[in-house]
Amino acid sequence: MIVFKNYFKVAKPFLPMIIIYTCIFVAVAIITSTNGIQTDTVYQANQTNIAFINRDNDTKLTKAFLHYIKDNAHYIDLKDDESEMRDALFFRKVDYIMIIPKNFTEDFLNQKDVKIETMDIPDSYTSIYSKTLMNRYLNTAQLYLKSDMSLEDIVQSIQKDLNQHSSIEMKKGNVHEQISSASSFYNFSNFTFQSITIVVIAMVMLSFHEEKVKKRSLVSATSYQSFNRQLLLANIITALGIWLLYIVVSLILYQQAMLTYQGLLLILNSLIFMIFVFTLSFFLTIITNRKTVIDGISTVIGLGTSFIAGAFVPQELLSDFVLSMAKLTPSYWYISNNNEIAKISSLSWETLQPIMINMAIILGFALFFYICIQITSYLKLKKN
Amino acid sequence: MHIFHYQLKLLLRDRIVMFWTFIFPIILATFFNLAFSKLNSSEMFEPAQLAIIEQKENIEFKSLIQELSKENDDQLLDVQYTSLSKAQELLKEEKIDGYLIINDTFKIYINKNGISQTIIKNVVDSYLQTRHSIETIAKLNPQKLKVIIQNKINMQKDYFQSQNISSLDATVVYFYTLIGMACMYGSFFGLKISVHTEANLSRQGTRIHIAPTPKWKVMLTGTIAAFLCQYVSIILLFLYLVYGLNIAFGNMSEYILLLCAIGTCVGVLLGEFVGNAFHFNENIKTSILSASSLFLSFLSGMMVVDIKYLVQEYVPILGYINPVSLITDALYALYYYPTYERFYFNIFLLCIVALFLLVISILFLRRKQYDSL
Repeated sequence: MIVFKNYFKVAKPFLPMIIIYTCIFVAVAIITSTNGIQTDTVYQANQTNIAFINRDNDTKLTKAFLHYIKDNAHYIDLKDDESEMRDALFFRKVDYIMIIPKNFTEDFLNQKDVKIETMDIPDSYTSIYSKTLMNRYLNTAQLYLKSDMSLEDIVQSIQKDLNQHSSIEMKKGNVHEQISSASSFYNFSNFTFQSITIVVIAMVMLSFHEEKVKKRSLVSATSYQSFNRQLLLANIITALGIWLLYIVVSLILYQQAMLTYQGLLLILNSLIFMIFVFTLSFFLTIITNRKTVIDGISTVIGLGTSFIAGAFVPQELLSDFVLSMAKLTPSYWYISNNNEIAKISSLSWETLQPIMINMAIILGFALFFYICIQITSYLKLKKN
Repeated sequence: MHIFHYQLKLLLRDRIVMFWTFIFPIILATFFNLAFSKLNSSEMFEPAQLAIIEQKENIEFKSLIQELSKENDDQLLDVQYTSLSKAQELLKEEKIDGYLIINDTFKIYINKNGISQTIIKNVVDSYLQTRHSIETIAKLNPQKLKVIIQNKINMQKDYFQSQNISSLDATVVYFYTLIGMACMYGSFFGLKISVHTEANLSRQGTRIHIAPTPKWKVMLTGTIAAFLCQYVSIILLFLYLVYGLNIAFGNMSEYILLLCAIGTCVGVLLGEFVGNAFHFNENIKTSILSASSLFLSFLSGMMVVDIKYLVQEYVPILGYINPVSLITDALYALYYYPTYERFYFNIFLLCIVALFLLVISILFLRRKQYDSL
């Protein structure tokens, strides 16, 4: 098993890279899964982020208004500073900034025509929704004002009115909460699986393909067959090791979700994708023998497929043109399969069938590259 | 002059560096564009789809719904009246966001949370609340209520006036960081220059050292050559972004060209700094450079745009010394801010970073002599 041992000697320097990639990956996965799509079982209002800049004095009205905002939206505390407000809006830290003008309370109580200036994202749902919500308060206040009530009574009455709520019910099958986070974790793995595996396998293989090394090993006592077999075994173990590392991480992060049948399907899906990545890496070592080229190719493939197939940006936010392009890559099938798995609510032949088909397509890609490997290596042998 | 010529030739011959500096940013820009093309439209408002099952007629509510589903800019709802079984089916197929059963009470059914569901709930709530308000007034002051009803008080009055801020497309930041990163890729050229000049790093360096040409001349011509190569690549990238992908930059190309020039300088100097200051082999230095430019881009929001804001909010100093972030922020300021103060502030900081790298490189480079080569 000398070749086998040697392989890992060559592979050892890649360990830090694998660890760094994994750490970054886990960090990003944690960040993205916290604001991922949530599958709640009870109704929860989608609150917008509203900032309240008060240039008027602190009056009963503004206080009550602020209280209303805090009850019905996410209140964001911003300073009355142009660039801070602009930045917060641009990066969507706040959706709606209201600037209460001077003497607002007085003018409002005297039923003058007052306008509150706002900074918002034009035509966005957050802006339209916030506007409706805020107008409702002021309109109700105005209504009471017309009936000659004191400000104190008005504030109290509005509070009572706003406690009126309709009942709402969620009709939903039991989908596990964590599963969508887990599936976006696996979507993201499209990038890391490809970049790490291609680089590690290809780089190590290239060291063995080096002209002198190759000649030396050919004259050695180890037979050509056994040499190749050992290499193959080592490669499979490396690929499985990388795969296993991510499975373990996902098990730690999403313990509950991963131990359901959906979690198991996600694991199976990633294994099948890994088989494809494995054949692809092998194919690359055959068509080129320059390490720098491999570096470039792995980055472009890793990033490219992740962008167009929906690993970074969810598939429903990609345009149809991009998606139809992405269908030419196995990453698309892998990622849509993950999404599909997260959605199934019961285990039956009907729900499993599309998932099996997607897996078969990924295996088809793997088979394609396997055939390519056979053909190119045959042609290469002939040429020599 | 002919040293310059050779320096340029040496740089252009290196295909790998050419790939990373010229082609890679363009490929990445294309991917960004493909991925983000639909992202912004997802923010745009779409009316909530609601099915109503009227088990008991309610005229007031019906007229409110009619008001809210008028087709205009502020249309909140898109309503259809159906039977219960039809509504349930529609909800299951996700053709509607929810359905509402009107009886003596109002009951809403949904199957997931979202903005549309929130809107439906709010419309119904607002009806209930207004009804409650009227009831309150009726109790306290019935005379006034008559007046109010007669005057048809407007409950849909708009108290807000938007400042109409334009240029709010956050995805441009990705492309800005890309330019920042591409500038940092100038460091690959800078590294090459220092490798070509340093006697213990390459054969060319050894030969140059023996020749009588002063070192500053070699370095200067090399730096200029590296700058030129990188600047051309940045301009190509910029042109591709503007004309190929239609990315908005604000209409101030001369400012952007100035910014890119300074950014490129910083990139090249960074490469020379790494080349001169550390004693690793070239491959490791290249890895250091590519990893650090990626990390700097990450901090500027290249992977997750929110990072830029978080850094600015909590560790602003990190943004002030990170050249990628400075370049990004300068471009952002040109795009989004009506004044130039912020832009010049970034340019100023960028110059300081460049100066700092230059001084350190010179300190490392000067008086280096070899007893034997």
